[in-house]
Amino acid sequence: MATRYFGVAMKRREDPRFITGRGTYVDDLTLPGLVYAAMVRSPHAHARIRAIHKEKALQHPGVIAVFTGKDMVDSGVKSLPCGWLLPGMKLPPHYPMAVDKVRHMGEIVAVVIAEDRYTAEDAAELVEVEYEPLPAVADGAKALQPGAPAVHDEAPDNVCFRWSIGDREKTDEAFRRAHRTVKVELVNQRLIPNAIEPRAAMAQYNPATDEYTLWVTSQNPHVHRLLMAAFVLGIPEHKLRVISPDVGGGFGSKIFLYPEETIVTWAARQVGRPVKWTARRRESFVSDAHGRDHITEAELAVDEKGKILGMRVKTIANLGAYLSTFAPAIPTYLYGTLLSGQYEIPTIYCEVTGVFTHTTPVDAYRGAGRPEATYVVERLMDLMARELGEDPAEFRRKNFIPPDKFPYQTPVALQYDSGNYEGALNKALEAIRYKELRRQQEELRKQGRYIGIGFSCYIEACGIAPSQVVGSLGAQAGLWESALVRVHPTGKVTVYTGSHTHGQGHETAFAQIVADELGIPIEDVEIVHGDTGSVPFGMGTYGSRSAPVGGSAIVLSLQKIKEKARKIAAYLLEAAEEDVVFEDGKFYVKGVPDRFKTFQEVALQAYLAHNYPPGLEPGLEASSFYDPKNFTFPFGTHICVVEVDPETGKVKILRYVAVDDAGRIINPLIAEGQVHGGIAQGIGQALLEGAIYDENAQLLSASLLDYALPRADDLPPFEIDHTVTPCPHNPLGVKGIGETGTIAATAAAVNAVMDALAPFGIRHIDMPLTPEKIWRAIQAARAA
Amino acid sequence: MQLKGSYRFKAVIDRVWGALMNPQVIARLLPGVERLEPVGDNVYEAEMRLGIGPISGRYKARITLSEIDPPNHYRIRIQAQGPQGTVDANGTIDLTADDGETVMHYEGEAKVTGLLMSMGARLLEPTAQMLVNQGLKNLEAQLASL
Amino acid sequence: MKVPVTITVNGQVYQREVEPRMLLVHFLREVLGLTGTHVGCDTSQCGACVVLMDGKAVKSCTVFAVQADGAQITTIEGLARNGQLHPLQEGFWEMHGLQCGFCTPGMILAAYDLLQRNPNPTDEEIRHALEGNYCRCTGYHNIVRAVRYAAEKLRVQA
Repeated sequence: MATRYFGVAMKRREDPRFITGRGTYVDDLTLPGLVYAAMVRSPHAHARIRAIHKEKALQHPGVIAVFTGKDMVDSGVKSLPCGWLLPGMKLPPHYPMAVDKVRHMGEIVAVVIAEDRYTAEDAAELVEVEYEPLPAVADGAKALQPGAPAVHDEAPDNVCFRWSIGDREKTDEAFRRAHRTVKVELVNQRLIPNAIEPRAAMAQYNPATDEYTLWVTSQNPHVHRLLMAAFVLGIPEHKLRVISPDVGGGFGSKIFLYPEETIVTWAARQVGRPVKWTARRRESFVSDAHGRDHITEAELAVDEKGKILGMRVKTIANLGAYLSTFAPAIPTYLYGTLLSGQYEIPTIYCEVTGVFTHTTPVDAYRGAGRPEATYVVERLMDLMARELGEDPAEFRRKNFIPPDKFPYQTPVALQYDSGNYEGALNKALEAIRYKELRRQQEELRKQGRYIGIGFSCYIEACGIAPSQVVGSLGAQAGLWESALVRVHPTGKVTVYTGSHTHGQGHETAFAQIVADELGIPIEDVEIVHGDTGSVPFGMGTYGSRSAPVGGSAIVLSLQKIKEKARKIAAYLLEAAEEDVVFEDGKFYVKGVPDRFKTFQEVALQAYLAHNYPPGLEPGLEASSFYDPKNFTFPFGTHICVVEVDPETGKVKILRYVAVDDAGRIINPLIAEGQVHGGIAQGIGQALLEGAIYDENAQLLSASLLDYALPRADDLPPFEIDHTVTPCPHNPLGVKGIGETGTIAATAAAVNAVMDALAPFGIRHIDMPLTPEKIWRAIQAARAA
Repeated sequence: MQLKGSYRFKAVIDRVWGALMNPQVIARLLPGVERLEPVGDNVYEAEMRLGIGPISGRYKARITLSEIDPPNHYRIRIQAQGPQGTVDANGTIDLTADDGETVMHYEGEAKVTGLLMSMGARLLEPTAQMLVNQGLKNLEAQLASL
Repeated sequence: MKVPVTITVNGQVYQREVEPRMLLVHFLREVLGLTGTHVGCDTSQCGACVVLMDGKAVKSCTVFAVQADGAQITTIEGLARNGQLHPLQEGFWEMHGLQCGFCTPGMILAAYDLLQRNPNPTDEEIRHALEGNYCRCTGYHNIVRAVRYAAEKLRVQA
């Protein structure tokens, strides 16, 4: 079949509504009788709630109701669940509103419902809460010290879990016989996701049908519905419809079931009117799940030839005050399993301690565990290359898993299905003109100018995930995806996908797959997502799974459609089914292409069912649930070139080259866009972003005034290229591309700055690499 | 947040001490105080309007004086709570007579929470210092007019 | 308590009574139902709310509706003329200058302001002019290309 759409850099079909201001985000919606919720949030990081006085707020004109955590719990509301359990893990309750104690700044203690949003916010200030402040701790390492204030009685030492992977003895032995070892202590700082659309929720309860409808900023509306209905509010699942319309970016932060949407859904029934809440940005900062926050000690051992013998990693992962939906999975199975990177490492041992602190919960943020792992691996590779006096590219090359060793079993559980790491490295080196660049670097150093070249040869495991595998690792749900393809009598097609697009362009990319498979114009294909009322149960979009898992589910359904359509066509053509060929939207008898039935004719006959194969059901639709056989393993090499001004410490990115292998590319325009955005967030972490808590666990970087997101003039243009190693186990040969940039870029940028600072003998500076930190390091180095 | 400083009043120590122990004087010298009344021995309740950067609001404060050693020393604790956060400030005031005038040393620290801290942190110290300076100037003026 | 205002939005005159503290962005979104203008932050950093007020880009979360009394406002809904996309809208579509679309209206109107002042900006000038507008999806690479596309097209048209 001729490919007409797959692989074409098509303009996006969703764009016309966005560029004309006609997108529909949750806060754009309204309903008759709509009222607004404002959350009363704790200023304290840790305090006992002595009393909450609602009277003044209730007296305020326009206020309809004020509810507290006790009101919710008294009415039977349960704790927000955690969707990933580890053996021996502590799981303290997490109510939508605090009941007896608050455990992080910004935790909700009451909600005010009022006629308009201004009144709700005014009245929220009138709710009087009597607190007894208690000591608090924000830092993961400090929380583990004896005598640190305990976040939960259930975990007096603040340890949520201790987890390990790999062979400890074998690894210790490798270090004992090592020729050289390097060790580094590094902090992967806490990030705040900051999707530009703040989270929002609007809920309606219809007493006539006993049905709830919730519009919410969600990457996975079915997951929201299941968790909220079955675990928290006790609503029958079929009586709760969850709609996630246009969503303004997620990056992980809109996966989780949060208190706010639970509160408005519950409150809509209490007040008998639809209720809307939209986060102020200052609420996003303290209530959206944060990302990263690791303190790590990592070591690498090599033999006389510079071949890696082993790796040892010890990490403290700060989980925040409560366990967010997928929190335990991120610093364990999405982190420890990635520590082999692109390298042949005979043995690895990694130990992770998950810690409660008096901070906002931490969960998946773009990359989720894999950027943290890549940062550890790629910093170690650079440090070792420097230790051995070897070129960082060549040191990596020497230790790559060679292409003939796939499938490759790592010592940390994953089996890589495919890879050609040298191919990507070579392409990137060529693009950057590496040798010439090193010469330039040398010359410029003589003039007192400090250029640095940083590598990141990353691997990612995405397209999560085989249900059996993740189930055995603690996931409380399988991670398959669904697709329902409905062919209408005129041959137009509606696809209902369990994936959710919040910027990724599914309405275009998925339609490209469908139009090709069915040989119909793309205009005849509609992609529907984000509504539990019409879409079959789906797991949603995260972990770069939409194309490999969601896209594959669509392909399965299309195959079923084509099989049935072939039966109908064979009947119409009076031919044997096996003799009928389907090509370019036409069914014909092998060898007689002039005698054909179009896909549209067959579709019509499927519904008219007049001239129809006996015993075959009318209609033409199919649904599938695709459970992937393995993760997909995108990989690549990113090279960042920077110049550091030694007088100010300022970093300027001169060039950024990314060569990624995400298998077959459905739409290069969209794929490149995903890489660009990922790189921006990765560079953001390396140079700019970071959550700061003070000693009382007060978040100081709590607005865009104090939290530095990358701006247009902080970033360079990106030079993007690909290699193509198709994924061998899914029908499209695709891998995920949504997170590669973030996974790779952080290490590339930091390695570049450290390379620039090498003449000063500076070995490591923790992120973000602000001018002040770099300047101080240079001053200290000059003084020494 | 820490505050520390000294100030020289052109008044004898007993007058400065007297003023510092007089709730009506204190009410006038702390900026933004809308009401201040005693609720026990050396314990006062106040309502004040405070603004730090973009964050302003009405705060309820409890002011407790202790370690009172006339006319030289007392400890003051101000616990304020408002819609945008809380302040818990604790400090000492020491007076020394010097040639018919009085030198005051003050020293203290404050714990601040909520939006006041998260949005106002960078403005906190300068604002607090400004409030103290303003208060001391007010006191100076009052001493002159008493 | 309410104050009468007369505000022309996308060529249409609206007379309404508003609370003096009502922000222009809420006036557009909630009073007029023009939800193409977005709110992304509380502190005038993100630029999702940028509209044109008397031809100049303003952050409508930092303008009271009463300050716009008598003004001409253009929002993203009013940029296309007679069903023809503005070259900036076209550029964002052609160059994949948007992903989630949330920052896009503000980004386009901020770029509109730039191209009025500087019809032939360099990439650096584009990046500098857009530093008051955050995009979390695109890394800005394609936004710069989109603005360049529009600049070229507008120059050809002029």
